[in-house]
Amino acid sequence: MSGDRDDAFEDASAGRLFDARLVRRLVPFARPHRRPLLAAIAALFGLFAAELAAPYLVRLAVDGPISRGDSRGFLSVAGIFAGVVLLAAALRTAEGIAMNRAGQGIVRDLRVSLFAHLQRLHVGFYDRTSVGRLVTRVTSDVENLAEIFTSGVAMVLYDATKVLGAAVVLVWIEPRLAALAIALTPLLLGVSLWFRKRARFSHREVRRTIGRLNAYLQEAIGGIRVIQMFGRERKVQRRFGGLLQDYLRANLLAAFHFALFLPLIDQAVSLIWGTSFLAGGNAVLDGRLTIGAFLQFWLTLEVFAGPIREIGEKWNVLQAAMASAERIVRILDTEPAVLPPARPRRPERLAGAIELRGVTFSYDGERPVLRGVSFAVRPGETVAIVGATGAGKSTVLSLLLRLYDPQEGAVLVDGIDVREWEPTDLRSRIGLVLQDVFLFAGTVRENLALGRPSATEDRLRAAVGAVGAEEFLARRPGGLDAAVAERGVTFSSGERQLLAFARALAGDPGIVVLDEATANVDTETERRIQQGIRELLRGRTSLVVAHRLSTIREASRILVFHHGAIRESGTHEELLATGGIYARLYRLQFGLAP
Amino acid sequence: MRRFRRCLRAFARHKGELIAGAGCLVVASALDVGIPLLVARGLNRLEAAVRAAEPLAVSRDFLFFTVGAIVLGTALKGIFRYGQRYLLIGVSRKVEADLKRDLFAHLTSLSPRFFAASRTGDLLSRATGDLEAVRLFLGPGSMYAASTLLLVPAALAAMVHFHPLLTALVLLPLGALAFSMKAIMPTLNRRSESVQAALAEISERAQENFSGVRVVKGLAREEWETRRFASSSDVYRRHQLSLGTARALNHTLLYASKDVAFLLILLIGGLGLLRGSFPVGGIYLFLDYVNRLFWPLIALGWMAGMYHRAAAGMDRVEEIFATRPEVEDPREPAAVDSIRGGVEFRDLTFAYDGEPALKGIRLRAEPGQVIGIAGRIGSGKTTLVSLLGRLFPVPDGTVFLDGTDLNRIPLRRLRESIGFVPQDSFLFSETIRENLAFGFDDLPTAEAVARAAEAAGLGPDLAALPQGLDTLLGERGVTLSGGQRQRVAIGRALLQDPRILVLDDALSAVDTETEAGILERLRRGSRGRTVFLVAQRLSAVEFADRIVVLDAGRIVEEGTHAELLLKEGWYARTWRRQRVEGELESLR
Ligand SMILES: Nc1ncnc2c1ncn2[C@@H]1O[C@H](COP(=O)(O)OP(=O)(O)OP(=O)(O)O)[C@@H](O)[C@H]1O
Ligand SMILES: Nc1ncnc2c1ncn2[C@@H]1O[C@H](COP(=O)(O)OP(=O)(O)OP(=O)(O)O)[C@@H](O)[C@H]1O
Ligand SMILES: [Mg+2]
Ligand SMILES: [Mg+2]
Repeated sequence: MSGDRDDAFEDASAGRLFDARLVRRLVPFARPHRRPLLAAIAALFGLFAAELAAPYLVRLAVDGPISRGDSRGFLSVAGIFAGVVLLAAALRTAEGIAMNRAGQGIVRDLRVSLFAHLQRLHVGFYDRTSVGRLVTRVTSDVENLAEIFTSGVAMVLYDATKVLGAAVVLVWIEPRLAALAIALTPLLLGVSLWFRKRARFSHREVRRTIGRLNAYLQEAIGGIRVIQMFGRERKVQRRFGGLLQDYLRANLLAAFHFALFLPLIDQAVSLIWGTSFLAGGNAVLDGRLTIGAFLQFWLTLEVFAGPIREIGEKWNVLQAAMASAERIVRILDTEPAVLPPARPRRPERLAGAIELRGVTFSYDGERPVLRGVSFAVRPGETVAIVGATGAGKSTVLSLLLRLYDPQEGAVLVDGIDVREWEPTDLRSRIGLVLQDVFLFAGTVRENLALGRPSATEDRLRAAVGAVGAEEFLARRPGGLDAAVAERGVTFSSGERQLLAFARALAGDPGIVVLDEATANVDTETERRIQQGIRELLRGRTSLVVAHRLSTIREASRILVFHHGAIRESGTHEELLATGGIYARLYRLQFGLAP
Repeated sequence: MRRFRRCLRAFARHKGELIAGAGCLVVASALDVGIPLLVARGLNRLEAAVRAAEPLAVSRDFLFFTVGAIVLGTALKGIFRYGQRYLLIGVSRKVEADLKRDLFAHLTSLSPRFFAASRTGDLLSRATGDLEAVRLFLGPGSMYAASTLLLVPAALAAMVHFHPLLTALVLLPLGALAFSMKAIMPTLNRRSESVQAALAEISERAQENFSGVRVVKGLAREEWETRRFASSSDVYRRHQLSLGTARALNHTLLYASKDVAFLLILLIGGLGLLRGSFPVGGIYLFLDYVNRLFWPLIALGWMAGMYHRAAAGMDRVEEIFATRPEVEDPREPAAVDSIRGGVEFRDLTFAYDGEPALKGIRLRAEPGQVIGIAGRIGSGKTTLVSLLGRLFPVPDGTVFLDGTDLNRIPLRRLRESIGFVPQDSFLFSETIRENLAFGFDDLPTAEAVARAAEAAGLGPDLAALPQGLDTLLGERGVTLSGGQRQRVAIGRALLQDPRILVLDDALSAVDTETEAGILERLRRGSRGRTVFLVAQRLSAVEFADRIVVLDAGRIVEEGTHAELLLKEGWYARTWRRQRVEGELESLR
């Protein structure tokens, strides 16, 4: 279902551990947070010193005061030890707080930038991408990505230093023993890396399957009425069950790897450890090593092996972070197909002239939906667009709003190419009712105003009055503050359309674009609206798409679309007289003899 | 634990794996306690040897055997740990899947009223995040808890055996830790809840924005939306920072208590060593056991947090389960063999909430009749036809199919006999073919699909699409034009060849010519089929056997087209407006 299209990419992306290009691309997001990041790294190095110091102090105590029976000397070593422990505790707290600050700062900035970028992408991008996936990008992917800078830094800098530092100390204690232990680490590394490879695969499977599962769940919730009306509950349950089975299988595989990994690692560690115990013990027996030095060696070995043991897991975290980063960067690098101009023109006033010049447009770049469409609308004029379904009427309106750019030709508003307008400037002057009404969860008032300064309380009330929405709003508790469910499902379709209509009027538009705005509205209400808005829209340009010809009574000119081209154009009388498509539609609709 | 009853029942279904897993856990834990004892013995011998009380060769042999035993013991432990993890975590995954399946099945049985009162994002997070929290607690969480419960007494016994006083002393910081964890937990829980809530808000914001992208762009609300999103992100960050501080302090506390315990061991042990009253192996043993005890203790702390999340999550999930489906299969279903399609509404009154949306509806449709339904917006047309499929609960004794109370007909049987074209044509993001065949479990024959598509007037559109019927649609079908979507929905209903066909304003986005074609084919293909036709354009219902006009939930006019025209009511008025104006204009 909805996930399928993105899966290919998801599979391809989980490849690299470290991609310098990606990181370079993302560094600007980390830069503002470098202070806490550096502070955290500094604290980590302090911690590292403390970790190496502790075993050394043990050795000092055992070989010095303890072997001499000197309690005072022992107590002073113990005092230093306590100091080191306290210092470590303080450093650990500082590190935790600083790293969190840096990470959350990066998450916040990235998240907002990503969202802002998504707002700039054109509608065509959204046609192809599932909403669920985009939500994942701005939620968990962003958080994963931040791991590059937090865990990633910790791993690469801290762990590497730790291993190297510990190795140096080991060599310093007893080179031969150290050589033996270090010679055995490839074993540990091997296990860890083997696991990483397996785990990466199962991790990817888990991600892929859960993505599909959730997308299906979301879609099923959206289509619940259809599912129930068709009595298809079992069918979707089976489908869901199948996806769930895939998900379970992926998870069991992951559990298998996970369950296998830890014992294997333990085994490798115990081999290294046992060998050093044996060799070290012999060295002690031979008198080549003191008991204290042996203990230090042993404790330091733990410092040395710890990061290697965890390298597989951290590797995976980092790799998941890289995969998230790649998905995010891919969005960030998607150039908006509809770009704001370098030097936008911002006319003071909108006169309201619209012109299409030889516009050819295709959604997929193959099948043309509009072919060489040209027409002009004078300021203040009302022009209707009619034509068969799928003829391209809604597409014309999308181009006027610059939701898409045409492949050929130009769309002009007030003689200026819409590509030279500041897009938000242009759109905020156009009042729009889309064919598919979309209402946000919240209140009616929020939906009508949508935070626009032009939507004052007075205009809001005027708009509600003009479309005749007062009546049904009055029946709801709260009136204008009545609750709106997701997509407005607790309103009837006609009521939703009226609300969308009022929303368009509330913004004080200079041009009004209506796409089947009253298709679900009865004739009487429609008449009332036409009267109600006449005053509000006096002198403003309107472009009206409708199948119901009574809707376009007020139009001074009618454009008839057919297969993406204008086939007829003229006044009602002219078109009737020509006896073309319009005349046929008209007669059919009004039941007149053809 | 009562709230987890549903999960426990699911666990019980995997009894065998649970028992085997638990067995592995016991053995592995025993080895966990045993291995350090071996090491301690080895160290003691080593020390004794250094103090030159034993011949070198004997010590070497002993050393060798000790190490061998340790490596072997670890291997053995590994095998059992593996068994424990794989079995127990696997079971928790299976239980999670069982719960998810049940939850989804339950969701599909709930009425649209429930979904109107919920938010999609919230439902999704219950089905994913909350169930995951439950799993973490019941699976890995209780597994660690169990091994802790085994480990603690055994390790303590060994420690007491070696040095009772030191054991008591070491327990002090660990006890203090447990105590302070208890104090800090509520704060941690509260803050992590705030974080969760803030994240939920972010994802709901994002989801609505992306779903409504055309409105957001069309009305130039991008900047405003970004601002709102940024402020949600700021809130989230604030909560995360305060949670992070609490976590860091908590962490420090954990480590500090461990370090204090270590310090005590080294101090007391060192002094004992100094006086020759306590062996090196003993120190090692204490260090190792405290380390081993420490992690499970932390895990117990996590468990407390996990429990909190899991309990809250389970409550939220149970809330859904506790919502009874408003519409259920009849307890004593009536015997229905073949449905003929006679429908009767007897004094039906129905309310969503508050004021009734339908009041005293009486209406009869003989099998094969076409019933037109007209009326103003919000007058109850959609409500009326939705009740026919029992989308909302229908009061007993108000709606009848072939003389049988709707509430006594098996739900699936009822719904399969109705072909429904909803007012907003929801399509799935599948191919057009799969959408058309939605009413079927298996894909019907290609001819049947093509015939339905043709009857719905999709022919020319499909011909223009390079992939035809196999064109993949965007979510909700956004990549089709409004009228194309509506016609796919019509085809979807027709393909079922239903006894009763409901068209809820299903031609509103279709041009007159296409509409006329579809209606014509409907009339020809629907002989013997009962049709409910809701329409704003009265020419579409003109041919109906009977037309009812709704107003504010009541039938205010009823009759044939000709009868209604004589009544001089809403119908006649609207008809004249739609028709006569047309004629007048054409004469103008
Ligand atoms: N987002 C999209 N992606 C790809 N193709 C699209 C998209 N939207 C529309 N189309 C296709 O473009 C053509 C014209 O669609 P458009 O929505 O402009 O038609 P319309 O004239 O408004 O039809 P209707 O009266 O049914 O609303 C149709 O064939 C449709 O399938
Ligand atoms: N899910 C719901 N919850 C609460 N009220 C609802 C719900 N659905 C509809 N209503 C209300 O019930 C009344 C009847 O709605 P219904 O959808 O049946 O009208 P309709 O006649 O189909 O209108 P339209 O022509 O606009 O589609 C309206 O006032 C509407 O606001
Ligand atoms: Mg359209
Ligand atoms: Mg309706």
